[in-house]
Amino acid sequence: MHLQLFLVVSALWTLVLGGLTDDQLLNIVKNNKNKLLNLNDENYEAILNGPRDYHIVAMFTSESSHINCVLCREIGPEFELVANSWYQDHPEGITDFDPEGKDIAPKNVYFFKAEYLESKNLFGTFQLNSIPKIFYFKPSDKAGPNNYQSEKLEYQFFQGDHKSLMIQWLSVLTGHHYNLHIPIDKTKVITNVVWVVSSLIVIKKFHKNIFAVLRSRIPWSVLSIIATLFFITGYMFNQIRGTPYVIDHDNGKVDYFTKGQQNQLGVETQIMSFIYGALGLLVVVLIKKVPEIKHDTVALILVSVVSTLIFLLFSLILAIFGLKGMGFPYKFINFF
Amino acid sequence: MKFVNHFGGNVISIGGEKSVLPNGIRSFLNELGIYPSPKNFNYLDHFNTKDGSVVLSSENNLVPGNRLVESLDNVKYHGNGALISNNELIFPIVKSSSTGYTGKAGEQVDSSTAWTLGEQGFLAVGLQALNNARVAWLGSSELLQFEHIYKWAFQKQGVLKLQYVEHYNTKNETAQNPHLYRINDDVVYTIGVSESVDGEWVPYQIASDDDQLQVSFKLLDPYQRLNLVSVGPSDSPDGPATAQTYRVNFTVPDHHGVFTFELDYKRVGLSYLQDKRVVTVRHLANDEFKRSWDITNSWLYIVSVAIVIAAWFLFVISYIYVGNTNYQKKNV
Amino acid sequence: MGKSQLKVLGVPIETIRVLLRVIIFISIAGAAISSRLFSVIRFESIIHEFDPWFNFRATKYLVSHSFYEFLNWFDDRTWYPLGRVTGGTLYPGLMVTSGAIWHILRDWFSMPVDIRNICVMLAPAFSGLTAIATYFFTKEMKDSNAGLLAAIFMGIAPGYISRSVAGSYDNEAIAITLLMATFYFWIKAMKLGSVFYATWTALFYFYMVSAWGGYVFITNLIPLHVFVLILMGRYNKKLYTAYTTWYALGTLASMQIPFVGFLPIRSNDHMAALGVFGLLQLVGVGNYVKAQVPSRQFKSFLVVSLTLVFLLGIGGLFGLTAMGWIAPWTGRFYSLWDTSYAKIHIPIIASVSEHQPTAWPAFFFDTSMLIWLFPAGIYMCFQELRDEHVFVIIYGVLCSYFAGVMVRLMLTLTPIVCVSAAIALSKLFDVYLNIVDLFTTTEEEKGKKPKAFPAAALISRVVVLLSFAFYLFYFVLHCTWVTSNAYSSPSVVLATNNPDGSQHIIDDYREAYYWLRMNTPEDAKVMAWWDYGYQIGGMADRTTLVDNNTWNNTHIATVGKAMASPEEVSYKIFRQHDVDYVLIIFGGLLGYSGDDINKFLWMVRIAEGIWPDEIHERDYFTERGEYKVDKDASKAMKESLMYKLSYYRFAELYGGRDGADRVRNQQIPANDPPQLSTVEEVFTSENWIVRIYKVKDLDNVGRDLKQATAFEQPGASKKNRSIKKPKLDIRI
Repeated sequence: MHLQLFLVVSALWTLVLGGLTDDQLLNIVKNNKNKLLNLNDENYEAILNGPRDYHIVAMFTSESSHINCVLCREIGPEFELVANSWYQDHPEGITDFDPEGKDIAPKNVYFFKAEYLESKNLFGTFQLNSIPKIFYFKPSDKAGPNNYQSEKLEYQFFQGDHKSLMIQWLSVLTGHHYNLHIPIDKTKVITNVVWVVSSLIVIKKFHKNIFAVLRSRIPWSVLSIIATLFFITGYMFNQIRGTPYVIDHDNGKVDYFTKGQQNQLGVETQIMSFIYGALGLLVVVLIKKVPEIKHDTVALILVSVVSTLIFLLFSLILAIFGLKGMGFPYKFINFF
Repeated sequence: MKFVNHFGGNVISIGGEKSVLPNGIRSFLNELGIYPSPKNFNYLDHFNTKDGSVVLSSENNLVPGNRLVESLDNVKYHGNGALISNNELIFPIVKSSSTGYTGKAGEQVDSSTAWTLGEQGFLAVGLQALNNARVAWLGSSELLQFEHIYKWAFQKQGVLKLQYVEHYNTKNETAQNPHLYRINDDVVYTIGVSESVDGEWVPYQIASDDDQLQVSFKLLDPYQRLNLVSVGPSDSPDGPATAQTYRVNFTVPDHHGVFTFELDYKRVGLSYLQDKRVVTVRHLANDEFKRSWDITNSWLYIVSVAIVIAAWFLFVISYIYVGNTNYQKKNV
Repeated sequence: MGKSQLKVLGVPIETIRVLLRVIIFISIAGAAISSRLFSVIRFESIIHEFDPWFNFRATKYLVSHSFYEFLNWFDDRTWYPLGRVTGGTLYPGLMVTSGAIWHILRDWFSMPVDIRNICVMLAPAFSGLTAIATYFFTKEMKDSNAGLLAAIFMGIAPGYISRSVAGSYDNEAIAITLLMATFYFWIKAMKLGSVFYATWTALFYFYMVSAWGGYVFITNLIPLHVFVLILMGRYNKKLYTAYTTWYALGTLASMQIPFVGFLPIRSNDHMAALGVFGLLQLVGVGNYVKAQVPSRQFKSFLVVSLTLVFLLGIGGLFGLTAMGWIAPWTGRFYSLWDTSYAKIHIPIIASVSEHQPTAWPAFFFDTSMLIWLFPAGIYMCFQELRDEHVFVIIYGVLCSYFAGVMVRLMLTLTPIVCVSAAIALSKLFDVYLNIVDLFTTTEEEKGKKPKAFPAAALISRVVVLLSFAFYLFYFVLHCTWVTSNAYSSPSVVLATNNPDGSQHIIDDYREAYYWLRMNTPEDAKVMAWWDYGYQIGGMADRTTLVDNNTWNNTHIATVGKAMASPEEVSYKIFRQHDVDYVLIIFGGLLGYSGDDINKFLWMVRIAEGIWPDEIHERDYFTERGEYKVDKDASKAMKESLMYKLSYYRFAELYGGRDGADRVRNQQIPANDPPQLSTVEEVFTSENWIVRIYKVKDLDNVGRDLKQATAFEQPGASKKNRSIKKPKLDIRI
């Protein structure tokens, strides 16, 4: 008598507060085009409250432009990729529920995503003060609300490739093996094909002009000299280190140069390559153009102007270099 | 403490029903991992009691393979019990029976008041430090009837000595203990072990298979771990035919590196024998590889070289003579 | 009047030119050598930095053993207990060179010079030779005027001095000389189609291969040059002769170096050379066919054969790589192209400061005004664009990219910067220096009208000449200043200035290494981070676990793990590896920033690469993601062996107040000093830079070392009257 009553009550309880069953969820996933299910204020209690006969992985994030979360936008696609890969491998959920020889009894895995703007209550109950967060909830027998709070496990954002890190983390927790299926970006393929075809057509049509350009030394020399100028003024440093272009201070002051021999800003590359290029050009003018001028006085004026410019620019280099610190003692003119 | 740790001294400590351990000795024993029961605690075993005193038996109380006490039958016992830690150097000699416990006489026994309960209690314990200093703790002076215990504790028994360790390359037997071996060399490793019996050094014979002397050839992990084979008595610095020779020969692994011959012999009731010899195993030198004809794979290349040379000669000859005639013919 | 009859003071002008040239050479060599002697004069004749110590040690081994023993050297004093097949994993060129010099001086000239002095002086001596090789190289590009300018630039350019000051006994010291010599002979061979010069190219290439891993640069640059020439339609028989001779001989020769072995036919780094070799054969055949058959047939023949060859080649390359016959490109090579590759995959490469990208000040610092003459020189090369100028252009563009990606490749960029700057400058001087021209009149003008004094032309020339003379003068000042301030510190001995301006020498390293040598058993094993492996081996002569030859990442990670883990874990590693002493570098007292705490994250990262379950980089940062060593330091940080070893007893120096770490500008709390139980401090150098700890033996009576240490502490054995039942694990 007692027992029966208890059973009835607990069944009711489950209906009201308990989690969805595995089959229900699987149906939802199968009928849903987006395999990453939404977790929001309406459904989170139904999903997270125990007992749960499945693994849940939920990402708490926000990709809205109000909340400028860079990491969220980076992580989002990777998380989605992991989820999609899982469903691609197991469109009917897992079929082998045999716990024989496994550390963790095999259960289905469901992936959820919670957007902050749609689920403020949910975020409130979790008391998150930073996003993104990825939580894992293990299958649980415990009925009742809010048990998930103590059952969650948090994913740590270490450095590295998050796709594979997430997979490692999940396979340890769920005991499943995960594959990554990186979908081929169709638009990329199409643009590439279009690009190749159109360039082939262009080559076919204008091949004489193109060959002429390729054979002419001017484009090559311009290309190599510009490349050289960029390389020797730290272009690769900017690329690798991702240096800021300039530093904006709060008081409106803008820094164009930083201190230190092994440090620079993006704009420095432009300034320096311009100065180097100008200096090189002036030297070329001295070598090539001046001797062609027959009139001595004109030549003298040109030479004086060019020499002065060289002197000024060289002094400018020294002055800028002096700004970089290191106690560099030489200077021609005090610019700064 | 220093006495044992630095000077290798030997200590025997005996408890009893009424005796009180001085604090110094107690903390010393605790430091080693032996925790004798405090004052007024006695070892009791209601199932094996005769005439008001506990009677020990080999079956219940003797720790097998301890080498010091062979039989315990009908020994009456009035004394304490002790707990011991997981210290690897401690070995129990006499343990409590599964029904025995140590508690205050006349008090109710439960797990909180009893000092020892069941087989986790010990009545006699030995400890041999790594420097072969020995400490024995006996729960009662009655156990002193076993002369082996105090003989052992005062280094009169079970004292082994490693007389010599030698290793050499079978290709060059005159060079003893070389520092350098080559991969795949054959090595012979020999040791001589003596045992002290009544102050005399005599060859030490291993008693059973469990007591095998083993040598490992290690580089981080043992590449070889071999039983040494007893060969016979040999001379040692202590006199002729005083050491038993053990020997093994094996092939150095095909792996270069710094290897260690490690002998680590730790048996209950015997002094420890430990020895490490570091040797270098080098790779093949440039002139120790197979050459030309010895490599079967090379035959193909040697033949092809010969063919190319022959073909070149043919070509040159034909170019000079055959070609020339053609040329002249054409001209004509 | 012919030029050959021109005489000054009765001596033919050509003789005077030669004499002048020799004098100039001698002074260039003098300048090159003397500007590299700052460190010897300031400090002493000592080997610098890290790698040179290994080279020095290997050289000592070479001169005290036979050459074959050196070749088969199995070093059991490094990488304990793995050992290192040193003879087969080094580039022996440097050691053999100095060994040969030592033998020649001793046996032929009866000059018993200490091998150390030869090693110290080898780099400056070779810099003189580099200047001469650069002269010949540039002479091929333009003329001897440009050659002399390039030679003096090369002699004093800081970019090259940085690797060749006295005491910097490293492979690069002789490699740059060989690089320039190889290139010179290559240009010569290519111009003349000479087998003789091509053989010399191969010979120097072999020497280069034996001396420096950077030989791959030549292996790829020469084929690239040939390839570009073929694309430009400049194929000729001379090119064919030069390249095939060089490739066949050079490859065979390079395979004689044990460390290189079969790489030239197995590794992708060398495939370009092989491919171009094949291409040349095809182009050669094609040219032959073209000469024999009508052009229409030739065209179809060309199309068919080209597609076939292309497909076969690509397929073969991929197939062989997939089957594992050809090794993929090495990690260092990848990191040149995909710049984030190293950061993700190979922390050990990324951790080396030499492998960082270069910011622009470094270029200017190392070459001064040459850097802006460099593009002008490239432009001049484009103007003429002979075959050899193509070489300069390719070299210049490629190398400026490489130098931008990796600081250490500044070294290979410097020669070409010098050469092309010299070309530009000597063109300038050609135009403006010839003042005599102004006063001589040509045959046509003769007798027409008397020329006026060319004042304007003269002034313009003087203006240009004077300003550039001034720049050159400044260039010398710049080079001297840079050399003296930046590149002349041995880094083994540090120098600071006292408040009164006098110099103060900090000699902690040698003090500590000497202590090790004198106070530890000869077979003691010392564990330290790999940066110091060579120095410990060279100066202290003790066995090390890891060193700067980072061939075994796992072993390095083991050391990293020992440093990053709590004491108990480290102690297991110590026991397993028979470690006797642990040596760390600590700069907190002095403010020496190159210390182990600053390198600590790399240790963690490298260890995490092997044991991702046990070590997490994140754990060493505070909650807020800061790298801290003060009271906010994370738990993992405070428990790590490195932290404890660094700050052990540090706060005691400050008499109970918090210790001040001057590198990180943080306070080390005095109320929570690190406790050590498995190691004991045995030595700390004068300025605390080097701290050495001895690893304790197992406790005699089988306690764990933490308990044993607690027992030994005075005051720890307080009388405990109440006897409580101990809580013990069940005995197994």
